[in-house]
Amino acid sequence: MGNLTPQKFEPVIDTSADDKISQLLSAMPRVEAPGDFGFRVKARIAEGRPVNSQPLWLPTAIKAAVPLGLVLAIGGYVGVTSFYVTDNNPSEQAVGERVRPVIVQQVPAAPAPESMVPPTVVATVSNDKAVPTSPNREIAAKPASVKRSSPKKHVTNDRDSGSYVISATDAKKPSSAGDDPIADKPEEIKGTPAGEVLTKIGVNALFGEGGWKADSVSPNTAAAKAGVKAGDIIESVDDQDLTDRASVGKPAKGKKLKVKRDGKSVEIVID
Amino acid sequence: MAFDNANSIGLEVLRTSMPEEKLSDHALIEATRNGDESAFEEIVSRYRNSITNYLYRFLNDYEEAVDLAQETFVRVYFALDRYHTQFAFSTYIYRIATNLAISEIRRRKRRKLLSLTGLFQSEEDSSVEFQPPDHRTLQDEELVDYERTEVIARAIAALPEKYRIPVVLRDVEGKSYDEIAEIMELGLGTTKSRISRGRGLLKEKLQHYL
Repeated sequence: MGNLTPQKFEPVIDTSADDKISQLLSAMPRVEAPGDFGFRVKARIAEGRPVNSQPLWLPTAIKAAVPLGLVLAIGGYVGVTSFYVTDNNPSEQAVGERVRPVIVQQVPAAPAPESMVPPTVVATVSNDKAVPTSPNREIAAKPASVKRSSPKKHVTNDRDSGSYVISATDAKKPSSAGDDPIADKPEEIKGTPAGEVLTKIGVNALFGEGGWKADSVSPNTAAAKAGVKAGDIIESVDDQDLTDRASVGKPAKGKKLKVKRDGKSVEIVID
Repeated sequence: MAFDNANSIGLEVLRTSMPEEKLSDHALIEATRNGDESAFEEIVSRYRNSITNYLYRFLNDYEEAVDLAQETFVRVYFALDRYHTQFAFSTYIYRIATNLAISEIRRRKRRKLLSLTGLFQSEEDSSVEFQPPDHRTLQDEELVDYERTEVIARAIAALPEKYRIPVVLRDVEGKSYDEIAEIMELGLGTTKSRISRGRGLLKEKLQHYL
C-alpha cells in the first residue's frame, strides 16, 4: 500500500503570464481621495446613521402587488357597476312596467279561432262577476297575477257563460289597436266601476260623448224613484267626474248624481 | 454627533499626548470608542486613499468610488461597537468596501438598459462593456500610457465580480492571499484559483500589452 495521506490541492498557475498581468496591474497609477474627504465623512456621520435605502431583495410579488391590486379594484368596480346598472336600470324598469298591463276581456260566447287570440293570452277566469250591461268593458287585474316566464297560449271558451280572458300584452308587441301599450294601460279600479253602479241603481247607461247617457231607467228602482230619466247624461257621482273607466264607491243611498238634462245640470240624490 | 461636539482644545491635548502615527488600528479603534474623535480621523487618513483606489479600480468610476469610500467609513464608525479586534482592521474595512461595491454593481445592473452588445455577452462576462484597444500609432508617450491604463481599467471592470475582487486586491492593492481569503470569506485554495482565473481572463483581453 502506498501513502494514503491526502495531498493538498494546489491550483496550476501559469506564473509567467500571471506575473505579466500582475506587473501591468500594479503599474497602474493610483488615485487618491479628494482633499475634503475627511470633512465629507464627518458631515455624513453628523447626519446620522446611514439608512438602508431600498431593500435589494424586495420580492417581485410585492412590487407587483400594487398594480395588481389596482387592476383588480378597477375591474371589480366596473363589474359590480355594470351588474348593478343592468338590474336597476330605470329605463329597463320602465319597460318592465309596460309589460305589466293585464286586461281582463270578456270573450264572446261563440268559440273563437285560436289564431285570432293574441299570442300573449295567459289564463282564463270565470265570469261569475261579469256585468252583462257592459260587454266590451275592460278592467285591469292585479299585475302580480301575471307570470313573467315565457308566455304560453291557453284559451278557454265557455259557450254557455262566456269567459274572461286575461291577456298580458308584450312590451315589444303593440296592442291590437296599434296604440302605444302605455296608452292602453287601464286605470286601476279601486272601487266599483261607474257603469256597474249605475246599473245597480237602475240606470242602463252607455258611455258616449259627454259621459254616461241613460238609455233607460228601470221602473221601481232607486234611480227611477229619484227622478233619473232616460236621456239624462250622468256627469258625476258624488262630485266625481265619470269617464268610461271611472270607479266610484259601492252603490248606496245618499249618492249625489249630477246629470245633464236638456242642456241644464240637475242634481239628483238617490234615496 | 460627537464630532460636532468635540472640544477643539481637548482634541489638541489628545493629539499632542498621543502619537497617533505609531498607534495600531486597534488602538485607534479603542480610542474612538472612548470618545476620541481624532483617532477616527487618523483611521480615515490612513485608509482613505487605499480604499478609494480599490473602489476606483473595482468600479472604474472615480466619483462613485469616492462616494462609496466615504460611505465605508461612515459604516465603520457606526459599527465600531460590533467590531472584534481579533480580526485585522484592514480586512474588516476592505470587506465593508467590497460589500458596498458589490451592492452598487448589482444596483447598476438593475438600472442598466438592454444594449445590443449586452445581447452577445454571457453572464460570465461582466456587467461593464469591454472595448478593445485602438492600435493606431500614438504620438505622445504619455498618451500611450494613458490609453493603456484606460484599457486595463476597462478590462478589470469587465471581469466578473468573483474574479475582479481578488485580482484587484492582489495585484492593485498588494494584499496577501490570506488577507484576500479573509476579506472574501473564502478558502485559500479557492482564492488562489479565482485570482489565477481572473488573471487568465485579463490575459485574453490584454494580449496586445503582454
